[in-house]
Amino acid sequence: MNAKDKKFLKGLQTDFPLISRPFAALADETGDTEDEMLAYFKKLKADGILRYIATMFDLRKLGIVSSLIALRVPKSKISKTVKIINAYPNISHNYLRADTYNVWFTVSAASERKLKSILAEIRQKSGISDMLDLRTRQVFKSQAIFELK
Amino acid sequence: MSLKFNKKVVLGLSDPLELVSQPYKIVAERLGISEQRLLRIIRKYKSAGLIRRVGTVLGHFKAGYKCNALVMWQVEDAGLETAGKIFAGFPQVTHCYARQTYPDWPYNLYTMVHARNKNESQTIIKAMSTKAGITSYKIQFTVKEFKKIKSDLKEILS
Repeated sequence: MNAKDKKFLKGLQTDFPLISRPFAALADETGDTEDEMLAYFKKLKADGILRYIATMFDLRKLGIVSSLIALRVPKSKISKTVKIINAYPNISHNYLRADTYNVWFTVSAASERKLKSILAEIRQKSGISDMLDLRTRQVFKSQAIFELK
Repeated sequence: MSLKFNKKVVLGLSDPLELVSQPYKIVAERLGISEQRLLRIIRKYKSAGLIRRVGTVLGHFKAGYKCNALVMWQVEDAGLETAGKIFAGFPQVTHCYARQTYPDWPYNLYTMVHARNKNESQTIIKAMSTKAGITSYKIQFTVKEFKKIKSDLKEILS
C-alpha cells in the first residue's frame, strides 16, 4: 500500500459517498477521471488491499442474536471440528488460539432458538461438549477501522 | 428493540457494492425502486443507527496488520461501562464487547487488538491496561485463521 492508497482509503472506511456517482465525486477530489478512479479501485481490489465496499448493519438492531463460542478440542479432532463449524453460513469468524479453549468462533442467528440449535448441532456432530457460550451483552465498538499511518 | 426495517432492502444492501459508475443504481434496480429512493432509505437507516456505515473494508493482512489478538478482561461490573468506552477509544481496537461470564470463566470484556507484530500488540495492550486500570486479563494471539467472512445476512435472516 503506498502513501496515496493510505491517505485515500482512510476516510472511506466510514464514509463512502452516498450519492449516485460516488467514484466520480472521489475523482473530482483527486483530479482524476471517473474511469481512472474506478480503475484505481479495481487495482486495490486485485491487490487484496480492498476487500470490498460494504454496507455494515447493526446486527442487533436487525434483531439478530450473536455470540462468541470457545471450544476445547483435542488436537486430533481439530480438523474435523473446524470443517463442521465452517460449513455454517451463520459463522463468520473462526480461529485457532493457544488456550485450553483452542477453537473460537463467532455465530449470528435470526433468533435465540436458531442460535441454540446451531450450537447443539455442532456439539452433536463434533462430539465436543466442552463449550463456552460467551453471549454478547453489550457492544462498545464493532468496526474494522484502522489508523493508517 | 428492533427498529422497523424493510428486509428486502436490507438484503439487497448486504452484497458488496459493485465497482461501477452507479453502484447504488444496480441495487435499486434489483429491488425495483429508484436510485434516489434507495439513497434516501440508506441515509434514513444510517441516521437511525440500523446502518453503521457504508465504507471500504480493507484486507488487514495485506494492509500490514498481521498480528491479531483477542484480549479478555476481568472487570468489576461497576466499572464495565467506563472500561468499555476507554478500550473502544483505542484505534487499534476494532471490536469491544461485554460478554456473559461463568463461574470458571470470569472474563466479561473482550477486545480485538490489531497490530503489525506481537511487540506492538503487547505495547498497546499494556497501554489499555494502564489507562483503564485493569490488571486481570488474558491475551490470545491468533494461531491460525480458519474462517473470516462478512456475515451473510441472507442466510442469517432467512
